[in-house]
Amino acid sequence: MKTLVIATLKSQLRNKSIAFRTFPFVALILFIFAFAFDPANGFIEKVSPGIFWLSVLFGSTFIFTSQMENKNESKFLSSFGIDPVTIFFARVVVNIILIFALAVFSGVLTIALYSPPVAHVAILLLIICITTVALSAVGAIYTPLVARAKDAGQLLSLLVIPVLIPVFLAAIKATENIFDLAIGDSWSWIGLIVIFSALYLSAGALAASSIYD
Amino acid sequence: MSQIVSENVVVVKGDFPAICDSSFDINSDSAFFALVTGPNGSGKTTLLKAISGNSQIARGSLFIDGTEAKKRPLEIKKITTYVGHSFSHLDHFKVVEHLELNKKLDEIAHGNFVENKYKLMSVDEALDFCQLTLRKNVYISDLSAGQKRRLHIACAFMRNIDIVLIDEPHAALDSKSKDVFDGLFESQFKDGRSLLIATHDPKRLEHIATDFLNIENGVVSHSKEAFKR
Repeated sequence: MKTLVIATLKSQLRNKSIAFRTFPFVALILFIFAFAFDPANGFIEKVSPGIFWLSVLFGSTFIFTSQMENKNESKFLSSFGIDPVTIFFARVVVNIILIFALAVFSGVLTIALYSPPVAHVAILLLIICITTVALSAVGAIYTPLVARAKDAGQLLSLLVIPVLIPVFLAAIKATENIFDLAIGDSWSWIGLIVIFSALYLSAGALAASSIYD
Repeated sequence: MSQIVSENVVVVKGDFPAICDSSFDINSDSAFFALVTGPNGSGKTTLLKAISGNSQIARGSLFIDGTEAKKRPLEIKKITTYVGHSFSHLDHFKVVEHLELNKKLDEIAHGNFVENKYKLMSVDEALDFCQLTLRKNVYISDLSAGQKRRLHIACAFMRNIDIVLIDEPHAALDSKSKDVFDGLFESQFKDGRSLLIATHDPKRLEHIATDFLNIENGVVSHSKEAFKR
């Protein structure tokens, strides 16, 4: 799996669209909302978890779209007779690395622009990690499937975003509770994200032979 | 031993049966060199894709070295490789990186404990064959159609597989390259590797061939002698 991860990651990182399209797009979302809300009444701090996760979700769909541009990648990797489950998990790991980097970038900008009361950084990182796993698994399932279709770019967002709504809402709630210092309430939302992540990973592993063949 | 046994195979493309109820048996104690001929659209590519596990078999059974293609597609991909018109690779990869990755992935697929049956092309030999030794750090996307074709074929012969299926190997090549390709095919066959080549120019390889397949409207005929045209 290590070889697959390194090769795919190398191919992705050399694809300039991630650096020149995704990261500036995420920064733009955060800047626009920072100027749109009045910082005086504290509202901007309240909505910051939602804006943060919205930027990560949209940024992730940009990453998936750029992965779809190489339609032959899955064909190449599956031509060797390597177990499709291994190919699926390698793709998940690559997505985790890219989306985690994106989430950290977005998180730093959110803190700089919205000044939310960040106290429990370790728990916040935990929420980012497990939500990243869910996003990555869904991306690894849908990207090769949708790549075969016409107008794949538009179709991908329409398919990925609805599937991720429960995780997206749970991540916002968990992050909100951390910002409100109500850490106890976060755990139930974190549990929900873990359940959905496990579900997406299991679904991907079960369907891998149909997806990556 | 190398063997392809087709029993009443039907491959459907859309609503159209591209291969119709075809039965043949290519069998050799060591290796075979089969030529597939037929007019455009007769089903040559579909047949090669079905043998390599890249086309769904609607009916019938196809056995490659005793393994049924429909039931064990992953195993088939470890026995055969298909060199088609399009060349699949990772984006933004250099020639040498692609060759190294090709070798590594083949080793992963077979497991390190499997002994190599053939003299496999090394990365340096592949670069030499592709005439890209001095340009090994060029991105694949910057290569010409002929160079990509050479690279694709070199990748196939770097792998530890029994049967190499090649679709129109002489397409987009100059006459010198065609001779180089034919020399490689002959040496690989003599080394014990089986080849199945779809071509519109069978005369070039007839002297080496052990089996001949001709396809007309999806119906496959098999002979040990070259078909008269």
